[in-house]
Amino acid sequence: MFIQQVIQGLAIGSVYGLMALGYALMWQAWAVLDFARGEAAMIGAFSILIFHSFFKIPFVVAFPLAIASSALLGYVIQWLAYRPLIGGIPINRLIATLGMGILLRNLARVIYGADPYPFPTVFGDKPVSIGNVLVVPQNVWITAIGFTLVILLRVFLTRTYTGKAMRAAAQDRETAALMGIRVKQSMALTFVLATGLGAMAGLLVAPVYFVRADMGLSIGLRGFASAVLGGLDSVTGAMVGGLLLGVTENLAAGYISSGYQAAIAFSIMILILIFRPQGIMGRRL
Amino acid sequence: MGRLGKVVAAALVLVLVASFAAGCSSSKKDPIKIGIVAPLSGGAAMVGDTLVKGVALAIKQINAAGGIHGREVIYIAEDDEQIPAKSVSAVNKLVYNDKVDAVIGTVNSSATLANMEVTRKAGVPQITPISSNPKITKLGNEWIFRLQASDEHQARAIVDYAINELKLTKPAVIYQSDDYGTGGKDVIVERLKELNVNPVAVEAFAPDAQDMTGQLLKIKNAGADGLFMWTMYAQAALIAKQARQMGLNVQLMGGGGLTNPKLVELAGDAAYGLLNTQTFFPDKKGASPEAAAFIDAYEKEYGMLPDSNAAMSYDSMMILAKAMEAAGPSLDKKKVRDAIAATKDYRGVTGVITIDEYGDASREILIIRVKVGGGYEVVWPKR
Repeated sequence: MFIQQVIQGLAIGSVYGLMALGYALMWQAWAVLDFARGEAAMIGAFSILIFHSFFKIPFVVAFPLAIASSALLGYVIQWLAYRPLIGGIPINRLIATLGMGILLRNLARVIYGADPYPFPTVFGDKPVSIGNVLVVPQNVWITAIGFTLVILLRVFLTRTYTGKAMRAAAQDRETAALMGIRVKQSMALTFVLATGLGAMAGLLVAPVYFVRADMGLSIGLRGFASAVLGGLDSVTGAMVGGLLLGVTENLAAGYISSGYQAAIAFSIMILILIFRPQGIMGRRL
Repeated sequence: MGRLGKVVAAALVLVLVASFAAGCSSSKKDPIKIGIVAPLSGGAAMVGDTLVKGVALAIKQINAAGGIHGREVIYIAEDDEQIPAKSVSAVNKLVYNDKVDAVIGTVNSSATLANMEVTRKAGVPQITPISSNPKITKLGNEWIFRLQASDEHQARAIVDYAINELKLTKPAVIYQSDDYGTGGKDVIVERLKELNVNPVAVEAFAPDAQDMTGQLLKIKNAGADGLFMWTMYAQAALIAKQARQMGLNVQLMGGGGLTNPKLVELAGDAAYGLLNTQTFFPDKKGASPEAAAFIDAYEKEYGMLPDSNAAMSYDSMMILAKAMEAAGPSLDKKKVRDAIAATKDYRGVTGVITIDEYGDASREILIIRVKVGGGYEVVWPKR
């Protein structure tokens, strides 16, 4: 049972990790904890629902379409609520993200109702048994896509000009501007990227956990916790934090007490942060 | 919802005007006034709507049969938006401005807990068709009655069926860790103990949890042969799907919160065969003669099938009417209250109803099963 519990933990942990990537990215580019991250997943999930289930567009076409439209919506959101606050104190931006999260969540509820929608499985939800361990194909896909994205993101942020510009803009906006970096454009691009990533997470979990207006709340919070655990300035850390949280939650339910599942997982997280405040993979602050 | 609210309101005005006009022409006596408090706008407006429909149909039939003590019955409906404070104002208006003879409502348990203080102080009998919080009838308020089976009755019924009929010996329990889930779990565990059965696992999950595989693996490992779940249909769909994926193929069972077409829509074939309790089910074939007649009349009147809420509301009005007949033409409110409290073996559309010492309807509870391909069938009681 132990291996099975770990495998299930890795599956949900990959989802947390994908969410955490968005937090890490926003932290690195905007220096803000973006509490509307979960809503990006919700937007992604509803986009694919609309394109694939309502308009019957084949999945291979609907998938990029949903990511693109979510990213576009991300651009509009940052232009409306985040960009005007770039010059302000960080707490203003934090509050703007909280407000945006509440707004998007309730907007979705008004439009689509509070009931969840089913979404057909794309990668297969019938388990395959390997030895005496059951593996669900779609979980493998979620984990694989998660890791691929981490590698791509790392390359993008450390090897490409645009990626370096993004990080420079976050570290010191004025100096970056003096060096010829178009700061606002660069920040907008990060936002679009982060929203696209969040949408990807939402898309991947839609067949597993359904599509609902408030879905961003719980996975967004877990994603935030994972990012802090892994280190907000590290995309690899975000993924590691997610996997660790997922596995801890499952082992807590399996071996200690399901009534205290979240409490145990978060206690361990607090313990780790006492000894490594910058997170597991984060640089010393 | 706003538009629906307006349509409902307009319909109510029409009904009121019509019944007033009818009252003027046909009878010199004042009509008997029933106050309805329900959410007619906001998120629960659909539920409030079926509540009014159920009561209105009962009143129509009562009037067609000559009214109560020869007097016509009318109703006045007030919207509470399922907000406790608004609910109190609404009942204040009904009791003190409209001077209603009795109140029926409301949906939301918190709102009922708030507004029932108004009827208690004024000494006006009140029946809530579907608020299910056990506290409502346990606060010593003798003016409030409830028709919905409380979660306590429902949980006991499904346990009895599982142990006595299905002969399960190693059941497990999974519940959401809030008032609703914990309350249900406590009753299940207690009832199992009374029947000398030990649950092999009792597992919790957070109300917003998406991944229950940790708990389900533990339950599978404990060798469970059945799983009680006390949660709502969306989480139940997740549990059903994930149990199937983890190879936990056991009988799934639960309470009234699971009855919803969404369950099968979300969980697909993993939900087939799931059993849960229900007090009313719009299935003419398996229905009692009373229920079948009601389903027909409701469908004819509104062009849709009644839900359990409409049926509870219909029975509320019928029990009230019977009590008013029994209380005598003066319609003394204390006598009406006593007559409601004395309700015994009333054959309503939601089953045979007896009001217990707390004001709760103790009644027969149905067990329904999700059919292969979707839809429900009644498996208990056997007819």
